[in-house]
Amino acid sequence: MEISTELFKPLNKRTPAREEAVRPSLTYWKDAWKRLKKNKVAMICLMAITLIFLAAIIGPYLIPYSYSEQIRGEEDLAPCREHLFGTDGLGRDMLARVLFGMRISLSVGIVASIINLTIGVVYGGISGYFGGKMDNLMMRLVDIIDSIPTTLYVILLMVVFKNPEVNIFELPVLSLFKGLGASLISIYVALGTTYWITMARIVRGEVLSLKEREYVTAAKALGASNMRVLFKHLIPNCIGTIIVITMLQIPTAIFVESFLSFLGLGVDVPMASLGSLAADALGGIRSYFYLLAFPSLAICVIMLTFNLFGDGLRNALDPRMRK
Amino acid sequence: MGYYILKRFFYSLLSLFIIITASFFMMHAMPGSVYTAEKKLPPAIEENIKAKYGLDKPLHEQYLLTLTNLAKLDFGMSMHNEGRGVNDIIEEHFPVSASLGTLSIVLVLLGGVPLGIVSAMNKGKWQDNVSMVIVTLGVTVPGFVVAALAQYFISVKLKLLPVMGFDTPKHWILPGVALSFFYMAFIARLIRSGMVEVLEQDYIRTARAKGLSKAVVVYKHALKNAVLPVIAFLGPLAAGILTGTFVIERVFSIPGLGRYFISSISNRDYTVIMGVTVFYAAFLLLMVFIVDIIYVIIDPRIKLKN
Repeated sequence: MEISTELFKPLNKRTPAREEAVRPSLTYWKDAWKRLKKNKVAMICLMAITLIFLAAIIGPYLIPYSYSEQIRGEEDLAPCREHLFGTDGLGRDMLARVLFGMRISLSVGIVASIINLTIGVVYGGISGYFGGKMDNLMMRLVDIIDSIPTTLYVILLMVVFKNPEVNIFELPVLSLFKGLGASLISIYVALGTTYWITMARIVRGEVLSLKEREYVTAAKALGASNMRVLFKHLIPNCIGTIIVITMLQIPTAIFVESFLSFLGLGVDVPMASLGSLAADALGGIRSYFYLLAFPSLAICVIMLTFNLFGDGLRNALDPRMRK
Repeated sequence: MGYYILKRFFYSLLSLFIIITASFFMMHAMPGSVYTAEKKLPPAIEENIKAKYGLDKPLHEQYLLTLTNLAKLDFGMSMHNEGRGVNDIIEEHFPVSASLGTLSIVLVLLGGVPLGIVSAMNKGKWQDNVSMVIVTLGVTVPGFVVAALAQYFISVKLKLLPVMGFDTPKHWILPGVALSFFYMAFIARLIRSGMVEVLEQDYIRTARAKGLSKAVVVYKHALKNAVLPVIAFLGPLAAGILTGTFVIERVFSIPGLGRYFISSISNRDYTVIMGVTVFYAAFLLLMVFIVDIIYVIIDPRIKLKN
C-alpha cells in the first residue's frame, strides 16, 4: 500500500496536543457533595436532621414551660392547644420534656462519637503507622476488648458512676463540666470509651496501606517527624472514612443511651431523655398512650434520619464510587 | 486447626479474666461500705457482716478469693436478699431468659432468612422495596418501643394476646417477636447483600447455563455461600438477644435473669451484679468461641496458616 502525502495535514496550532479535560476538575469534597445532592433520601434526611437540631436547641426557648416545671391543676392532660403533647402525671409539659430529651439524646450521640473518634483514630493510626510488634500487640488488645460484651461493660460502668458516694467530678478533667450533672457526664464517659474498636481497626487498615505511598517517603526525606507524618499527612487522607464511621456511630450511641435510660441507668430526674420518658410512660400505657407515643416517635425519627443520611454519606464519600 | 482452637480458647479465657478483674476492681473502687446507704449499723455488727463477706481482708486477698471461688463456679451470696446464693438466682431465673432467647433466635432465622432471599431474588421490584422498608424500620425502632407498641395495640386494644407474664405459649409470642425484630431485619439485610453478590458470580451463571432450574441454583448454590456471614453473626446475635432481654423482660414482667439483673442494679446488690456479669460474659464468650470454630469448619475457603 502506498502512502501519499495527501493523507497528512499540518496540525492546527489551536488544537491542544493532549486531550482536554472532559469536565472541570473537582476536589474530593465538591465531588462528594455533588453525589450527595443527587441522593434524594439523603438530602431529605439532612434537612430533617437540621430541623431536629434546631428543634432541640431553640425549641425549649419557644415554649412557655420548662421541662421540670410542674403546673398544678393541669396534670394528665391529653394533647390540647395549651399543651401540644399533653402533660404528664406531675403536670409537666410533654412537648418541653420531649424537646429536652432530644437535646440530651443528641448531645450524648455527638459527644460520645467525638470521644470514640479521637481514641479510635489515635489508636488505629499509631498501630498502623508503627506496625510490627507494636501493631501486633495493639491489635491483640483490640481483639480482646472486642470480645468483651459492650453493653455489660457500659452497664457496669454506669453502676459505678451512679453510686451516690462516687463523685466523678473529683477527676480533674471532668470538674470543668460540673454544670451538666453527674449522670450525663457518666453516660458520655461510659459510651465514649467503649465504641472505638471499629474506628481503630479501619483507620489502622487505611494507614497501613497509605504509609507506603511516595508522599510519605517525601515527607520523611524532608525531615518530618513520625507524629507529623501521621497526623498531618496520613490521618487527613482517611478523613472520608472517619466521617462516615462517626456519622453511623451517632445513632448507635443514641440507641444505647435510650436503652440505658429505659433501664433507669441514664440521666437523673427531673432531667429526661427519650428513653427515660418512654420508660416512665410504660406504667400508664392503657390510659395515657400519648406519653409513650411522642418520645418513641422522636427516637424512631432520629434513628431513621441519622441512619439513612449516614448510608448516603458513605456512598458519597467512598472513593470506589468515584467516577 | 487444633492450634487455632487452642489460641481462640486462650483469648476467650484472657477476656474473661479481664472482665472479672475489671468488675472486681470497679465494685471495690466505690467508697463506703455496701451498707452505708441503709440504716446506720452499730460498728460491731458492721464488722461481723464485713467478715462474713470477706470484706475485712486486704484487697489482694479478696481478689484471689474471688478468683478461686469463680474458678469453682461459686458466685457468692446475695447482699440484698439474705441467705440467697447468686448460683441459686442464676439457676432459677436463667432458664426463663434462655427459653425466651432461644425462641427469639429461632424467630430471627425463620423471619430474616426468607425475607432476605425474597428481596434479593426480586431485586428492585416491589417485593424488594417492601422488605427493605420492613428492614429499615426494624433497625431503627428500638426494642422497647416495639415491645410497648405491640403490648398496647395487640394486647390492650385488640385483646388478642395476654399483656404480660410468661406462663403459656400464648404469652411467649409478643416478647419473642419484640426481642427478635431488630435482628430479623439485620439478618434479612445480611442475607440480601450476600445473595445479591453471590448471584453475580460466574459459577452461578455456569450453573444456570448448564440448564439447572432457578430453584436449584438459588437453594443449592447461592444460599450456601450467602448464609455464611449469618453464621458468623450468630455470636453477636446471642449477645444482642441476651441484653435485649433486660428491656423485654421488664416490659412484659417476665421473671428472667435480665430483669433480676436490672433490679439488682437498683438495689445495689454488688455480689449479684458482679456474679451475673461474669456469668453473662462467660456465656457469651463460649457462644462466640463455638460459632468461630463452626465457621472455620464449614467454610472451606478459610485456610488457617500454621
